[in-house]
Amino acid sequence: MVVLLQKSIYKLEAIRNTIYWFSKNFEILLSENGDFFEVTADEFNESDRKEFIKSLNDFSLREQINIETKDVKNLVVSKAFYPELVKFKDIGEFDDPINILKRNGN
Amino acid sequence: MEINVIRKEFRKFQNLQYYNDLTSNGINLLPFNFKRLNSGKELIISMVGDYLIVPNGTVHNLVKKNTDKITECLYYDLLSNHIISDSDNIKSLELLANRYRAKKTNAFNFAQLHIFVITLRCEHTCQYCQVSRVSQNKEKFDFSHLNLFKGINLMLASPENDITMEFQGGEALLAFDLIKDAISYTKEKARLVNKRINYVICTNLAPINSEILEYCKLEKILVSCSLDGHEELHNENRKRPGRNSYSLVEKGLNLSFDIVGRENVSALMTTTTLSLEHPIKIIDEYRKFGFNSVFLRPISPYGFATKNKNSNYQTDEFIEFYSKGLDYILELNRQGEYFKETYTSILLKKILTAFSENYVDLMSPSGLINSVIVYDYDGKIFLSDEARMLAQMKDFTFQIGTVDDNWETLLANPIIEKIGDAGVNDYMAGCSTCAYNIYCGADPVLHHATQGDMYGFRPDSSFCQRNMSVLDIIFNKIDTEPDALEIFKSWVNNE
Repeated sequence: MVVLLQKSIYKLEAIRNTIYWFSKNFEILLSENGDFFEVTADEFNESDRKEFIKSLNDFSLREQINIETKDVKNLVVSKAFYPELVKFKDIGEFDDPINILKRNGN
Repeated sequence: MEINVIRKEFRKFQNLQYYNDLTSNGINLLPFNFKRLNSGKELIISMVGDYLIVPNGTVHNLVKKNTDKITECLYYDLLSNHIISDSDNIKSLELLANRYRAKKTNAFNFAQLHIFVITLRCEHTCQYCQVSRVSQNKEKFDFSHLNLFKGINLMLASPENDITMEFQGGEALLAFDLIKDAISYTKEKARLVNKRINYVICTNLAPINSEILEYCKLEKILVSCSLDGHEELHNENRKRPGRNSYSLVEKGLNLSFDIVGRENVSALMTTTTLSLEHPIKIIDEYRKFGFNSVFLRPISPYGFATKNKNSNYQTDEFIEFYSKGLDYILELNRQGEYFKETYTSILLKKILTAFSENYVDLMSPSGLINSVIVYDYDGKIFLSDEARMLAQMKDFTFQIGTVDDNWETLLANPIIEKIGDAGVNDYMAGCSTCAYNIYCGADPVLHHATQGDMYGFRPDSSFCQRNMSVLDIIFNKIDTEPDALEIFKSWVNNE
């Protein structure tokens, strides 16, 4: 069975992560064909295909979260391990979650 | 403006429009991951381990920034759990960094647990025993005094000031005189370098007597024993001449309670194929002896365990055993009896508190070096007890040297660098995208032993399958059993 995935919608990383978890039970090949990624798994039945797409959709969400948050994550981890190396701009007190200080010009 | 005036204003409630405006200001995602629970709800876990159980579709709405589809209550939950931020100046970065550091504290430590395999001799012939057992009369399987003292010198030269020195075997008490010499030497030397040492003796209790226990009481030594379950199971698992292992444990435990006190005695079980049928009987056995916890512990796939039919079971069989056991334990708690499962408690501490737990298997960076060092009876030094078991199968991958070396040489061993890579789950295939990775570990020794590769292949890893399943069970209980969370909290709070 061949699953066609539009490149403009599905990120390669999400597809690779999905294939990784399915590769215990299936031999899966990934190739490109124009605007599509082709996922070829000869042993897939309809139910496997559904499971694959379901998992792919979750990995796609994870990938989008990763893209948006990876810089913050790297910064937090760097700060955690090298607190003196990474200095954050002074952005007020932690007990100011709704910007009272800022609104009052502090 | 005076800070006190500002604070006073901060405490005032604003009109409703003020909060409505906040939610419409747009959101930024903070690092998080998610899983789907059996109920269809989504489990969201932040990078520091805070979790939220949210309606299906929430993650999609967050990613698409459909804030109008997120209720006000959920919005503030997401905000306060560091899943989202409502400002470009992400105020919680400093806090997140501190929280992350707290979760990864072990990365900044050196081994606090120093295990001395004081002798390999044992009078039991347990089929699953992870070390090669040898008969009692072979004195050559004891630590030599020279090597022992060299090992202690190394332990005391390591950086941590609070150290646990654990005596293991074989059956450690067959070398009781050697243990006494070790403690006497350690006490004298530790005083000079201002180190505090706690002592633990691991024993099957067969050789224990009043004299030994009085010494344990005097030196404040903890006694850790093996109790596999009810008599029939224990005797079948732990064979010895006379088939009386259980009655010796029973006698030894009661004597230990009398002399060193219950609080200084603990017990550990190992799950064999024979145990799988009896989770409730095993738990009841622990209750019978007055313990308020049990560690439903799978067998380690090392040494003799891999060759024995009673040790070869599948992870899903173990999970079924664990699940039945946990159900029963929760029921006991509902009836007012405080009793907990230790592995679950270790994970719950990671889930419900800002801290972590020094349990080697569930550490990332790996607990090898950071948490434990093992000195074998012949002077070899290993990175973990499991690494020592591998050596019994002639695999010395995780031996970093001998007691003749110094720390500079030991830590320069190339394996340390490899573990640095293979022991961090944040960027390993399968782990880096797993919602549970902040609660989990990497376990390069197990993956090396079972898959021939320290990094491991997650979809086929018993370690991964077990931890994912246990965490699924925990979170599905929190989601669907109204009182489960309160019971779980009591396990963490009572530590």
